[in-house]
Amino acid sequence: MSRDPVDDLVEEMKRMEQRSLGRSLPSVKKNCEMVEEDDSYFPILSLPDELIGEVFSFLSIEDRFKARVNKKLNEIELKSKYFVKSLKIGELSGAEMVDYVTNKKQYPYGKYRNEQEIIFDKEREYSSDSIRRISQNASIGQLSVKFDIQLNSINSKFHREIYDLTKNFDVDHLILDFQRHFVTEDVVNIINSSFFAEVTKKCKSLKLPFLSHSVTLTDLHELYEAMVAGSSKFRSLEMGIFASDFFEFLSLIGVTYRERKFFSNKDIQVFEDPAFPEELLEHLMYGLDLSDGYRHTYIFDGNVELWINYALMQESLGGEIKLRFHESQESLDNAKYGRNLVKMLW
Amino acid sequence: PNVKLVTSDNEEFVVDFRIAKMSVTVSRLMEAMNMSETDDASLLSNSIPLPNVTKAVMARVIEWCEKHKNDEPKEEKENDKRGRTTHVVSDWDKEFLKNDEFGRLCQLMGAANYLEIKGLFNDISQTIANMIHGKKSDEIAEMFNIHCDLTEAEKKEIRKKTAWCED
Repeated sequence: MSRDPVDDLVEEMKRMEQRSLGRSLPSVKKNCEMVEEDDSYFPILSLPDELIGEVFSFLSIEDRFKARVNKKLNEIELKSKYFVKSLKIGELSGAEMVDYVTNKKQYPYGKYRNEQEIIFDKEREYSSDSIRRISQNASIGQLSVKFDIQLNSINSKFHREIYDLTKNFDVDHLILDFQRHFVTEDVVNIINSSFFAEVTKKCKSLKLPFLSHSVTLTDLHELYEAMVAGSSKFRSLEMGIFASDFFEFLSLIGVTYRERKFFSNKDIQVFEDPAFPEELLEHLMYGLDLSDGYRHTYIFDGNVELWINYALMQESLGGEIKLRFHESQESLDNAKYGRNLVKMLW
Repeated sequence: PNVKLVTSDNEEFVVDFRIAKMSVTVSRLMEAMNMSETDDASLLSNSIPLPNVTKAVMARVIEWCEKHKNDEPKEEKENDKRGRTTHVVSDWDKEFLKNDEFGRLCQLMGAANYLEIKGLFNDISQTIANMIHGKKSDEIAEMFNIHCDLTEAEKKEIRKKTAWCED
């Protein structure tokens, strides 16, 4: 004997009610009907919390914060998750700040949802609470933080707190900049081993475009090995590195560099940017000899590509490296053979 | 082929199978009742009860679906899974939603959510978001006729957190 289809239907509808966001829908209906007599305002509070949260997910962070006009909306704002494709946090001062504010007033619809900015006035004091609040329920595609961190600045504590908070974010791509190439010891204290370990576990990519010893060689080596082994979800690292650290890193990963040549017992492949064509050299105005040496190096170890800025090979103080994990053979082949690189054979 | 939908106030709507399928909820119900496009008898002998939607709202929903029945299905990108990027409300949709009084818009949103018609739901959410966008806190409170029940301490706390976006 088969079940009564009506029973099945009732079951299915119950399941659907549960799945549907508007669990408390009957009350919406009632409330909406109640206010229909006075239709001069939108009865937003009569919507279920989840639906108000949905509306909030269409707002910019600034609008979300401003919409917290009573207790209920304040709570809903905090508990509803949202996604921001790109968020830049930074500061401006003087005329630049005035320009920024004027521009924002003139084009209030300019920065909407996909690319958002939070710009602080360098001359005012702030608390990091706003950023902490965002870290609680936002997911960010790309988060970039850039402050001119100075010990004597009125906001130096605030700056440090924000850099430290970035590890709490649910973020794919994290960029931490300091508006300067060399950074002081206090930065090392924020971006330390545990910070690096946490962020490289959580994010897909990390960019630290400055020279410091904040990332230790052990940290870097561990990450590299995990990426080569394919056991890390982490995909891309860009960072400044002192030359002395870099050559030590090379030896840690089993690569020796001697007289512009790389040697290794491992199965690695080395490529370089192509030499500049003669005819192009004539047009270069800077008097640099680019014919030799000013070319970046690429070392491939399994699915990992290590990009080395030419400066590092020029016995300079430091330069930049990029570590990238290629997820597919196609991407790997493209990186090796699709960019007109020259394969170095020794 | 046509499908019969019955609203909470017992009004029967006969719509094209394709229109009915635009609601994820109705699709699931049809599956549960073994109704199929190729089986006319299954469509004729059954009707879909929708106890959360009234006649007036259903008419609006169907009007929207008629307009959008030929829309290309949007492919889910990596980002969409985590959250929406900007939703653009088309001119036709803007005009369509302008005709609804606020109370009705609110019911329509509830219906779009219950019926799981994503396009309509996003249109309405974005429309309400647009009302909020660019306004100051007191303007938002006034627009929604919201009485502020925050204590002075809570207000101060909120101001502290929004210091970067206040003038």
